[in-house]
Amino acid sequence: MRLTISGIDKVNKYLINLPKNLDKNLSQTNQGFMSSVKKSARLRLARHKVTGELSASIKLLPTKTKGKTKQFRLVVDSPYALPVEEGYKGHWVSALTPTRNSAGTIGDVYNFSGFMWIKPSSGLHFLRNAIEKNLSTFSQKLDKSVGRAIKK
Amino acid sequence: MTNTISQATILSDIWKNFFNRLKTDVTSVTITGSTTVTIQTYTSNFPDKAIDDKTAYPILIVDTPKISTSPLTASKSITEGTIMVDIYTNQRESAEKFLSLIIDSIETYKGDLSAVGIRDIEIADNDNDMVERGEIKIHNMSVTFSFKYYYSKTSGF
Repeated sequence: MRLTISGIDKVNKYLINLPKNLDKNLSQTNQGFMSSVKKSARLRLARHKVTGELSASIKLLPTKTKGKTKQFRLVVDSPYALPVEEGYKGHWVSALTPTRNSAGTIGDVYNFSGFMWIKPSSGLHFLRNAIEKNLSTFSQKLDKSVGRAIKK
Repeated sequence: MTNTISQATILSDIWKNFFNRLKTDVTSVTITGSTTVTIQTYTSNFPDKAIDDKTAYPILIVDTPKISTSPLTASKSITEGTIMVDIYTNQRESAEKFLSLIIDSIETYKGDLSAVGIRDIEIADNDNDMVERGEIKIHNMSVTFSFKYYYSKTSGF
């Protein structure tokens, strides 16, 4: 006796493809979310017209993961990132202090000699605010992404 | 208006097709008070040094497409991709109107894009953001289009 269920091939194909589609869609959503955080963070940063170093140092890199869903990390590769994000006390800075980039000294960049008083800052929180702004829509995006994978 | 797509320069060719289309169609909008707002900058990257220059806005950015390839048939492959379009303005109303124009332009000319192989264009995502930078407010709206591009595989591999 042979029992044939019509349409089982399609069900089988669907079940085989479902994890692949889920990985693909979730990877895209992860990348989209992290790109949006990067864009929001750069938009919130003050820019110095000469260097723009901090903003340019924000990069999106893939992480090595065991699963097939791609994950990403946001790297802010500048010594100024932490004080700008979290704030600093007021302090004097010498014009001869190197900027630690190709722009030369702080005096060259801000056009002063001797010492300059840097006002205290409570932090710009460019990263925290960028993450908070984008987190509010992340669950919706994940929902949509899973939904699209299931419908395929 | 459309550019043919070569396998060797697929990313820049797909980008050019979207960019040229939008540069032609999305130029200005009229907002409350009969003010006409005209796009000042079309680019592929945010012009960092102009961020605090109010006269540089509105800025329309067509990002480089992201693509991945998978086999379709024995002789054909399919490239699935996404391309993000951003608009930065100083008024929320104009940002919304520009976003509508961007979507309308791509929807209207789907046929032209299909003629060069860019098919199944759909809105995959959209987003918005607002930041106050000193005296200027920057409104950002973005839309991500997904698309498919079919091409013949190189045989023998």
